[in-house]
Amino acid sequence: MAVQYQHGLSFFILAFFLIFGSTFFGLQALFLGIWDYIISIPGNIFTVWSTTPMETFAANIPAAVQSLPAEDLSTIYGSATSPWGSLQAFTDGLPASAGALPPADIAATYAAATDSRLSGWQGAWTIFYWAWWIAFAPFVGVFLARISKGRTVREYVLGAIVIPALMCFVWFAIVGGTAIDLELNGDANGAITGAGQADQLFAMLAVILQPTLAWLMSIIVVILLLTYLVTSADSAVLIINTINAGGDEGPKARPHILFWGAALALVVGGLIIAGGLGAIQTAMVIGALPFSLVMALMGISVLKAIWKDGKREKAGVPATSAQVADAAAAAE
Amino acid sequence: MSLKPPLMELPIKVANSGFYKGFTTDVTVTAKLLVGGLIIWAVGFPESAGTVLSGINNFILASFNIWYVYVMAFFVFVCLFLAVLPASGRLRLGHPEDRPEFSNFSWFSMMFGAGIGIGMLTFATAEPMYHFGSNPSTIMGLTEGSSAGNVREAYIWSFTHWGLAAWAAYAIVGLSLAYFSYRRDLPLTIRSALVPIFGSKLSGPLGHTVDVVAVVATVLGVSQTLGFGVEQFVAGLSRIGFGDWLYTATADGGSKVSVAAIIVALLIIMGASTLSALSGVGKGIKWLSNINMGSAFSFSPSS
Repeated sequence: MAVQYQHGLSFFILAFFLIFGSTFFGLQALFLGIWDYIISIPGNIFTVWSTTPMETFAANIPAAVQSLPAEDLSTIYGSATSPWGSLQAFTDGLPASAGALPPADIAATYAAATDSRLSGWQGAWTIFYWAWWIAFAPFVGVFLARISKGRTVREYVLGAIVIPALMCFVWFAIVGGTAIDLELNGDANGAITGAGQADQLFAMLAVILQPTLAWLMSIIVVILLLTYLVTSADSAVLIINTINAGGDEGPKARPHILFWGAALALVVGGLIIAGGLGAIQTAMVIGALPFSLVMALMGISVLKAIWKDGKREKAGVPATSAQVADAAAAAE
Repeated sequence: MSLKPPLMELPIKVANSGFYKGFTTDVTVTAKLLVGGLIIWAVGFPESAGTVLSGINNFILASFNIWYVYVMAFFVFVCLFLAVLPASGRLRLGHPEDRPEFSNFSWFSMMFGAGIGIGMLTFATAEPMYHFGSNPSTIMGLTEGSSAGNVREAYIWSFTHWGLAAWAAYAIVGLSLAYFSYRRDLPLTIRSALVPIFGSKLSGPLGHTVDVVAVVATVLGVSQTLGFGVEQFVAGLSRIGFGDWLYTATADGGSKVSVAAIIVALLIIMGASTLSALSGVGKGIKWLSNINMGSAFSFSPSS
């Protein structure tokens, strides 16, 4: 039942933004974005930025800055390496001893820490996402396997990678594009940028719609969100129990369903109360690391299996359970 | 040349009776202890948990960033390589006579719906907005934050994070499980995917470890998703007009979701989902009924 409504509601929200949002801006973002993304892949896929150590930083800044007191230098290092700052904020926050520095020296100092800022940004965004997708992969992976019996590898890759990625792009371009457009053309006047990440969709609805309609749309979004949360959580509990039962979907013992339901609630609640979303994030990044190793081995394992099965096929050695059964029947 | 048929059996011992009847006791108990320990630590000693966890987290971000970037690239490479190569691309996840259970449309919509909905509702707006403000290009001083010239950069990074790499990570798990389960009759669980490397040793402690690692990752990965969802749920309740108690002021003059709001949101969400999971008892697993609904939605013949 839930899935049916989910598809309907999520399509409704997307269609709403296609019609009432910044359609042209969004479509432009979609097509240019896909083009730019594909071109960026060879460069981006292997890019890793690393932090600039204090010593390297100190060696690369102008002499006038190097001669500042050590504690001021360490303050400057701290603020120059923060990925969330800007040259202006860096300049405004310089210690008093640096007040007389020429702008060129300040800019050169800030530039000496660019790699550190890039590395901080990559850790907070890209590496965080990679860890999240890896931690989420056993859950989605079991589900994908469950629904894909009988597909060819090529169909599977198209259906499980290319099409969902395109659907994400449509959402990001149409919905996010409307938000960016409203800020660029001044309609939102900072109302969306200023809202917290969790509130931005609602903030955008409040900009586009008159209050009553924005209220109704917000209710629709909350209902859709609730169905997503409930189906994600209950499927997660059932997949955890399936893994615990050695792949058997059979046992559905109540205490174990209750345990994992409560455990999820307590992990989420306990960590948010202890340290906000940041605390969940830290635990998740740690929990994902061992599974990333398992996944790397899975990649090697499937390559090896497909390669050897190809050789088996050529040599007439059974490679699947059906072929083994056929061979046994033929031998009798 | 000694080509033999591959391993087609991977017995995983489960308890025959008692509280853990039907479950692999080693895996279940270990996973419960680990997750239970994390909860007790986070709730009982939030400060020490926060400090230690963020210390390890910073270490991982600084030391394993290369690993994460390359391993994701590897997943993309493996999936695309196997799809493009003629010999592997036409291999079937199943036996030659097996055909897909679902129409293409309901299959695609189930793929997309698998847990990504919360991401769409929060991040489809929030992420392009963030990158529009700052991204590597603005950090390098090549484009100006929050300007029209920064829109394309914002989308490069949004699409990078939600594009091929994300789905390749899910797909590699699904691909290997489907391959070994449908062609070799191995159990549809995480450890089966490593059989070509470790063989029948996976029936023992090594296999248990792999499954425990997967369970812990699932709990934390899903918690992350639920965490974002809870925050957005509370933001929505506040917009609808459920009151001021949903937020509390912070020391720096901002506001954050209140403890009461988190508890109420989690009670609603986990209560509903636990009921839904429990109601699956006797009716087959919940995702199966979801699947049938997915196909009902697209008016296609279902299994």
